[in-house]
Amino acid sequence: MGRCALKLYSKSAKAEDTNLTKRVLLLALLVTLLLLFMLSEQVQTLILSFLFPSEGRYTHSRKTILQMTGEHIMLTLLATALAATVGVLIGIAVTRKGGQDFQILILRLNAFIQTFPPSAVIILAYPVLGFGWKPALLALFLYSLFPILGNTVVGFQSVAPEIKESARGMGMTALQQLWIAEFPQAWPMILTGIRHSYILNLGTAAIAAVIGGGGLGTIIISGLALRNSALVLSGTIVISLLAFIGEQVFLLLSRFTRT
Amino acid sequence: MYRSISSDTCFLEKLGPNGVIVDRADFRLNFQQKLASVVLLLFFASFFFPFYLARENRISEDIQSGLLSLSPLCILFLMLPPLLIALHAFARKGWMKEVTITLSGVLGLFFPMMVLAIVGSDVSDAFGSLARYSPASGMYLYLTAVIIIFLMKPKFRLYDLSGMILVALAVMFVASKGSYDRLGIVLEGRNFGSRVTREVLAHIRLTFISLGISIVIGIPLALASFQGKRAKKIVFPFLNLLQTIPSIALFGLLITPLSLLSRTFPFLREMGIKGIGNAPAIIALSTYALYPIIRYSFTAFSSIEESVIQAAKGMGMNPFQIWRMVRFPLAAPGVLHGIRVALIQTIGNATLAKLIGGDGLGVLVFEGLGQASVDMVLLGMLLIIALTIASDRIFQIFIYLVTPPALRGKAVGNG
Repeated sequence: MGRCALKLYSKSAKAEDTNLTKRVLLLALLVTLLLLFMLSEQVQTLILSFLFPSEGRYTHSRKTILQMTGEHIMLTLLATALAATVGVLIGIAVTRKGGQDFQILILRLNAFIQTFPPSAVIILAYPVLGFGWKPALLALFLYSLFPILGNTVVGFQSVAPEIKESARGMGMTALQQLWIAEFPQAWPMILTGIRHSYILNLGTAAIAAVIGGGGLGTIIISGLALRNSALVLSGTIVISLLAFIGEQVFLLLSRFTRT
Repeated sequence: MYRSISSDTCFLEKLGPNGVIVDRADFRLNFQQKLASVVLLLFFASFFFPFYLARENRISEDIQSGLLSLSPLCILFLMLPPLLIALHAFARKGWMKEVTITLSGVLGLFFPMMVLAIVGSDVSDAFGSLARYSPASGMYLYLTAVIIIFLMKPKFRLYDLSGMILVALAVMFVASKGSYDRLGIVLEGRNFGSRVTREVLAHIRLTFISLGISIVIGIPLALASFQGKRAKKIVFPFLNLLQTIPSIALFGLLITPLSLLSRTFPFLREMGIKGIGNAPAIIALSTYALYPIIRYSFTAFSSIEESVIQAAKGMGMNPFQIWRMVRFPLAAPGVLHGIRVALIQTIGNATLAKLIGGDGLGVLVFEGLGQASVDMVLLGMLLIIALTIASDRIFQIFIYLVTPPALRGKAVGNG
């Protein structure tokens, strides 16, 4: 029995290692593609003119793809990082004894916010908060907060009571219980929430350009205004690559932080 | 001296000279008090932000007015809901709790609307007949607090609903007296006139056509991927790729290919299919709605337990009967849940149709953005949100009705 289990384990571990190599290679490939496309205007023109030979222009008149990608990544990562920090903290607070009463509020707020489409949340930031990248950031943050918060709550709720009990029995303080016993159990769920938020933010941030948020939405919207699909595609390629890269990075992260 | 007896209680106890507890102080807040403190914090914060913005005319500079610049009567009105919530925190009897929370919620909706009406006449007195005003961040924060009051209520009851309806009637009555005539969104609505109704209808049409197409294509694809591994291998990677494309980009990617098609095949042009307009918008919207529909339907069909199918077989049902009497009814709630998600998403994304020359409420929103007119954007967005919430409610009732009674009240797994 024991040997059989060991054999099975080593087999799956091996499969996982080849998977890991594949994953790292895929990530490297995606990053290379992104860098090639982002850094060189020749590559952009080559690809876009192959797909859309009739367009007059393949690059944005004022900003380079590199600049816009920088803005886009900043906006997305900042919003996701803020949402992750605040979401996990609130999630921990409402799964403790003192905060449990607020769980229902969080769940209802989550359901309420979900009825607002992401594009509406971004555009609504303009009348409520004003024009520019800060309102866009705030809107992205608010919208991505709740998926993370929800996953954190579910993650902590799914920790088996026996684990908490035994941690208490070992004489751990409340903080130790949280950090050593509960957090590792809840982490995969939390990470999934953060990953979803990142992908969501990446796409929603493209709409942020409408309210002055900058980013790759700039080239997409000018492509729409000029009726030029090539410009739209050029922004889309970068966003899609960023999404795939982010997904791989998060999967690797979950692989390495698993206990 | 008070001292804590253990780390996880909030009691502080005072011990007498011989170690007997003589007094005990309880520092725990109960549920009501916690809720009240959160809501009061929001109310308090809202008083530091501008309550409304006034302008002498459409393009002049904003003049911000905070709570303290309102008349004493208005201030008193606006203080009442926070006061009631503070009372709620210390209410002991059940009916007292219910009365204070309901009143503070309903009045929290009523008073800001009345203050807006009172402010209306002040604004036109102070700035002349071209003046206009709009609610500002303080007011939005105030309303957020009110929304949280309603969300915190253990149950949304009939009298909450009737309170809301009363508020709506009162607002309509005041509006009929012309008190809201100088409100920015009312003025913008007047400027657009019948175009508002037309764009609302266009928005609904755009949404339903796209959703219809997406259901007709999506559900068979979900069934195909449920039945065969090969279909799944094609459909799901495609969906994942689709999900990484921002909705705003999907509209633009179709411009060139569709205009090429319509140039080569004139009959398509006669059908209205060209690079810009409603046709590419519908194609983009229905493509984007495929993801939730296929995802949720697939999950719904695959989460039916094998034992149920076995039992149906044991009862002598043929495959057709199993589909009609077991699989479809059991999967229906999940499938409809997917359609609901797609519906909300499509109403939102249909706003973007304007960017490629389509109709819908996006016309108001993007013209407003172009003219830097906050009121116009707000008008468009409020209509979109009202549309979303209304169709969501209707759809939820529909889902409830088609769910087999035995499954009601169970959460539908999401994909």
